[in-house]
Amino acid sequence: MKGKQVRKILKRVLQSLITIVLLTVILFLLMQLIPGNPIINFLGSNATDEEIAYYTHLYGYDLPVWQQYVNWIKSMFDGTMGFSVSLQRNVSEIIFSRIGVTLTLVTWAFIVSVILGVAFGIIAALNRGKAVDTVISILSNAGIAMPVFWIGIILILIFAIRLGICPSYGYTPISKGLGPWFRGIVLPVTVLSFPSISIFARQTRSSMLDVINQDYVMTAKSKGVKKRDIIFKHQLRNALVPLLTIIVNRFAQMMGATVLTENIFTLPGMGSLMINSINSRDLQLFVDCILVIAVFVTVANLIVDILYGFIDPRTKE
Amino acid sequence: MNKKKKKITDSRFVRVILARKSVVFCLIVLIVTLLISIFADQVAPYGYDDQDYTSILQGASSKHLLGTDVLGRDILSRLIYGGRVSFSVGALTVVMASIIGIALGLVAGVAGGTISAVIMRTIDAISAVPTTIMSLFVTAILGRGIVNMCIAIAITLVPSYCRITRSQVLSIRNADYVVAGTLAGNNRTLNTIKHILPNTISLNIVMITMNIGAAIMCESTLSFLGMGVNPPMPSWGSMVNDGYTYLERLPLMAIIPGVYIMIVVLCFNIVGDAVRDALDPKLKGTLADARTKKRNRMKAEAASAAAAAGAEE
Repeated sequence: MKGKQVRKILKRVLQSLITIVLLTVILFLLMQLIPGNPIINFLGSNATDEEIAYYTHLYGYDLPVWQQYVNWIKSMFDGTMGFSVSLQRNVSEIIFSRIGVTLTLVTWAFIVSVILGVAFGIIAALNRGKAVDTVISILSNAGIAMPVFWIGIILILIFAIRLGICPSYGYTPISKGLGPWFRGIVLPVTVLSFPSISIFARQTRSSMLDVINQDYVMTAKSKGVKKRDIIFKHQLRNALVPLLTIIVNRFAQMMGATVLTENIFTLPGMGSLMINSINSRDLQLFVDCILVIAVFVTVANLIVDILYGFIDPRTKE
Repeated sequence: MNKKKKKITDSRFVRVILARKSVVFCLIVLIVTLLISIFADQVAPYGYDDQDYTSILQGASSKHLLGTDVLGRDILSRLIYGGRVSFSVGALTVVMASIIGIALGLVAGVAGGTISAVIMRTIDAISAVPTTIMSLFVTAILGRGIVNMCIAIAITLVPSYCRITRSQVLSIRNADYVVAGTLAGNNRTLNTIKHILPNTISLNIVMITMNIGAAIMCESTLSFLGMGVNPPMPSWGSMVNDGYTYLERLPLMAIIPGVYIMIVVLCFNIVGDAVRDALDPKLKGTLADARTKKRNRMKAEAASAAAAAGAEE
């Protein structure tokens, strides 16, 4: 039995690896189609043909496509991840200096949205049909429909421009004090978590209601199990199973939404880096950013798939 | 005529959808918004690119109901025209995504083996990249414009159609009526199209309605980031971005287009939920269903009684 589980997990890991390899191929092929050239962009419009030819050769953009791909993959393993023409540094250095901000944002947004979303969902499910339920469901419907960038702008308008409590842009590292750090990060985190809270609340509510009348909940009730125990041990645990997939999917979408959040609040993370790299036509940098995010997402998916085996009572045996 | 009327209200789909007042309300809002943007030339007080240099960055006035932007263009008119972009991108995207996704899902499900593995792993690879980033990447390749934007968004939606269709195919591939078709000597491709495809439709219709809102949201995001339609064509997302620059001076300029996006997406989502409930066989006979059934039965009885009375006369 154990061996079977291990084999299943190994198979899943292999699948994830194949996914990543395929993604590198797809991204690389698509990258060849991007019009514009980072070298011309970097040298400016006054560059002579010789200069362009020299730098094109220097950065290996004149090599055959397959050779470029091989070099790129090689650069993954030597830790440089290629060279960014526009910023004149190794891509890994740039990403490393930026990823902290993005991960801080996403981690906090993720924690906040899971806690609040699940809590709202439980409250709504337990008060089904009452005013609380209606309010939560209206808010969560609206939360899903609000554009992330718009929420950001509204928050800036209220808290930065009108009230002046929070800065409207920039990032303060935690080393400069907890207060300034918190003030700088609270708006972006709110923006990022807003849609997720709504989605989690909706999903939690509906899966709680799905299990509310299941036999095992009825049995527990008739056996006189405490209400709190029923909610947390029986209902929530079973309701969590479909929720997990959605939670991990939101993690991916949050990574994507950082592009917007960082752009609005001018934060020095991966999201703003990606926009900059598109504008300077620095393909290498952009594709590497995508790949890093995709690896995060794939690993998160993998973990959840493995977790399923432990959480879902039905797949346990 | 009586017969036809009865048929429409008899359909469970229509009954479930019309049962909820909120859904009917959203449908009306959507139809009105759609009509307004289709007939923008007649409805909008100004053209979307008409510049009035005497009133630049003005607030609401009787001349410009929602004010003007930095080029003196009427914001209300731009909002109305902007709907064209959102609605056409929403519709075109789901059409593209569903056709490609369903086709890939069918092939993967029917062919199996290596073909299926290649398709599904590619789909996995695409969906490992968050929607916003993937569509940004594709628009960076293709450039701006409505069709390019649709392709970019459609690529991010293809995986869901493909997966749903494939799993449907796998679950009915060995059903008696499909096997019977093969035994009868039908060509495999023909068999797939004839017997399996219709069975995958209802889930895909649900996906399509649920995705229109998402596509519109994605369009506004791309437009906000400046990767959407080419200016001066207005789009709600780019209008929010225009307004963002003048947030302190004219906050409404950024707020109003956002409200518009929210209302349209919200309505699409609510209608989408209703379509899902209406097509979900698991929910058959639920409360809302029963209530309308009863109401409609009473109505039908009254109508038939009246008809019978009319016939007797």
